[in-house]
Amino acid sequence: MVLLLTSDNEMFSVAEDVIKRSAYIKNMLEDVGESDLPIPLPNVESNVLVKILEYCEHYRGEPLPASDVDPAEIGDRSLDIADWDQKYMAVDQEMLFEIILAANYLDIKSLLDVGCKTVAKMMKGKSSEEIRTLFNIANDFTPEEEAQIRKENAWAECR
Amino acid sequence: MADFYREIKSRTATIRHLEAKIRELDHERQTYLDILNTPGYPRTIPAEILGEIFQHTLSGLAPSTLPREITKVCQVCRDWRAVAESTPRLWSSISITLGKRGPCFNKLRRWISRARDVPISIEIGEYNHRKPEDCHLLRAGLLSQLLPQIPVLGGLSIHSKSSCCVRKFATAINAPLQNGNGLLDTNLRSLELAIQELEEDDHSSSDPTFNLGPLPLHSLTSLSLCLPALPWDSTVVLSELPQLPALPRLETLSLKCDWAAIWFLTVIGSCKNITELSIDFVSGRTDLDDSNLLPLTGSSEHMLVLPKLNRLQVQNLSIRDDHNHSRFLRYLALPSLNALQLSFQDKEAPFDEIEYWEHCRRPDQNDIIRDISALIDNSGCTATLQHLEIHFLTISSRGLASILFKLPSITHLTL
Repeated sequence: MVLLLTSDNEMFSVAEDVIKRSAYIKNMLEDVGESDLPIPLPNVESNVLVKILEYCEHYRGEPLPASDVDPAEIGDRSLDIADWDQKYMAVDQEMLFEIILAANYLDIKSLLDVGCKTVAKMMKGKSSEEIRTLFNIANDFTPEEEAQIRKENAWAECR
Repeated sequence: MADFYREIKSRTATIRHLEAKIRELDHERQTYLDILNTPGYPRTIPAEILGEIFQHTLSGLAPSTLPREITKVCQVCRDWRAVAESTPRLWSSISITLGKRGPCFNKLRRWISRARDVPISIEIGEYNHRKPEDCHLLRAGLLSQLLPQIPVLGGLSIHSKSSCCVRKFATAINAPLQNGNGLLDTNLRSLELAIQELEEDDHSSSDPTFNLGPLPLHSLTSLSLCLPALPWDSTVVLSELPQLPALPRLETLSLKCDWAAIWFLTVIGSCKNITELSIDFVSGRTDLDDSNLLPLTGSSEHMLVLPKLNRLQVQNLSIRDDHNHSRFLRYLALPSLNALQLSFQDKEAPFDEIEYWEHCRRPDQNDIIRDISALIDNSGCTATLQHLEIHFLTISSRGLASILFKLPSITHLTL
């Protein structure tokens, strides 16, 4: 078993084959070897870690992705998300971004990929204004700057 | 007194101007406060992850729509614009439809520069000209202004009205400049050609390779050819049809045309290391005369062997007795085949409905089942073939059983 200590000081005891889906923890265990000391996770809160462990538990036993494969290189850009992953990602926006941040910190590439795809699907087909509303982002452009962006990307036909 | 009134008016104007400026600054201050006070979760996401999200958002979109969609992302806020502009892959596709007005090269240059060293894919569409000499593909600016800007050209896709224009374009691309380099001095990985009309000169050329001029094909890993119909009364023989040089690195080959089957086999034979092959016979006119095919493969003991092919997709196979395309399968040996998809022409096939239903009532009387069986036997792929799809073919349970009996490894069957 591996002990994990979250940023809000909660201790979790997790089976090694479950948490090894995290390349960060896997490398740490390989470097340090067996230890009774907990691994501190200062960037992950307990409620987020519970969610992360749910994912790792679900995929327990499935082969780990090769660590040196860059998804950008293999061109996997489809927005297909497995049914279970879609249900897993049906959380509020705050939790969704916390999962993405934790997956990035813990280096769980498959979870990070699912998180990015989920956000991308939310954005797909929306206007800039709708995206701002969706994610509560303030518009810090002047109208002139917005027009400039439009203009500089309009290269299809010279007028 | 007049001087005083003038001074008062001047001061009032200054006050109004300053009040307007204060309102503007106040608005800007409030905007920044809003940014600080709103949750705005994506702003806490590291730039590289946000860039990854943008790439997923733009995935699957036609390259022609990318400028509009990227603009949407860039217009959300300054942070997003900065992230988008520093994510090279977002800027690595260009789609140009040539007409009277060409692309704006100054703006395009900025777009290309954002791709940095990521290989760029260009899609060029050209349809609106009457004579080959009016072809927009040959416009000087396109060659001399666009191509030198591209550090690494990964993919080239040309959709053109005529084969003659494509050939001239390809020749012009590699014409040496004064410094001895070509305009396109690169290792092209992917090439797609879609041509609407075949110029007469192009199927009687003495050039033994595909009439594309000296395009750098040697490093291609993906090739897609969508070629125009030959004239109905065409008596063209193989040696007169454009052919490909050997492409040992090619992994994916897609052929869409109704040229003679011997041409398909010759082209496929130039690409022995392909892993995916897609053939579309389009109208079903492809000639499958065995006497033409046998000299190529020799005999049944001399199959066209593609040792690495694991996915074969054949579309618009004809089921007419005089055009039984499935016979094509007898000439292939695919020992690594994993997925086979055969799609026959549906009932829109160009023969009358009574004949079609007559045909459907006696599916096993033609050679289709035997041809599929021959492919399996010749390939020895009984342990590797897992996915089988057959579309638009009425097949008897006995015929299906005879195929499945040979395939204990099958995991997916679609009829």
